[in-house]
Amino acid sequence: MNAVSRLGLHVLAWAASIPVLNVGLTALERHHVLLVSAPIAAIAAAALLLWVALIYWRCVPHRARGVERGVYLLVFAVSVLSAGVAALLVAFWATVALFGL
Amino acid sequence: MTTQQSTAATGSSRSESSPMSTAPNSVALAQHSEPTVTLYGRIAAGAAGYVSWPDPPDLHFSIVIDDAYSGITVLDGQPTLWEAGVRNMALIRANRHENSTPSGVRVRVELHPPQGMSRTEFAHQIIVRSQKFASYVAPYPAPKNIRGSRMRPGEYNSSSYVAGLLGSVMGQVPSVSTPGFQAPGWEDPMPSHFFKGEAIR
Repeated sequence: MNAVSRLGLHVLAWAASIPVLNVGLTALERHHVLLVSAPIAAIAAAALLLWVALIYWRCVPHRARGVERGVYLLVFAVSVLSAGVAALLVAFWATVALFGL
Repeated sequence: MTTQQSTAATGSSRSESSPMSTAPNSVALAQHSEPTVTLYGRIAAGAAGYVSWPDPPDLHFSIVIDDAYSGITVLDGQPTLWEAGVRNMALIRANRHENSTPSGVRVRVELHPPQGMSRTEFAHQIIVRSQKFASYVAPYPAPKNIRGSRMRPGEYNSSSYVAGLLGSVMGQVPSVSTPGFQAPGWEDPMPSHFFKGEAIR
């Protein structure tokens, strides 16, 4: 597997985890197991950010030149942001489908 | 609750009449406690409702009618999925379920009927108007700028549904304070014709 495929798979797994996490947390809340408070949402968001930083560190090729590094970072950030927004939409609709608003 | 229990619970003066009494006012004494109408708010769509951070999270409102005889009725607006076909996705529909209260509730606001209306009539009117709601007509868009605290003018969501339903019964939308939360759509209630079966596609 080449570097781009590996990076794509990691980002895909990261994005897929967002609806899974939201559905899981909502299920716990709707079954009176856990109240999804602001700290819990913040911990989930921090874990996702940490994960995406790890993906960048482990999967994005390192470059010596600053300009190249900047371009790689920019492309990575835009890709991850797009995947994140799409994943949030999927999370919303999956949650509505399973539990309602 | 039986009539007999209700009568016994209403006071000592009434307890003098026998449950089998045929006195003219015995039927009038057969009262039960009037329903309560409460607005429940919870974070919309689980943790996704915190997407508005650093602004407060978005609330989703439900009207909960608790009646001693008919039980608990929960009314709210929900976005449609593909239950009426893919072309009818992401529209607003009236939702009703019974005998379970919403979970994860952060806000509870007791609602009082307008002057001259009994609580029983208030609860009844809310249910009737919700049944007349024109589901599958109005689109269900995201708030302004997705994470904003308001809807674009003329656009409605589940809070607009609840605000509009209450407004159509009460004559005006009640003012609801939800410190620490935001409720996009409450400022833009659905017009009352949606609740009279008059809205057409």
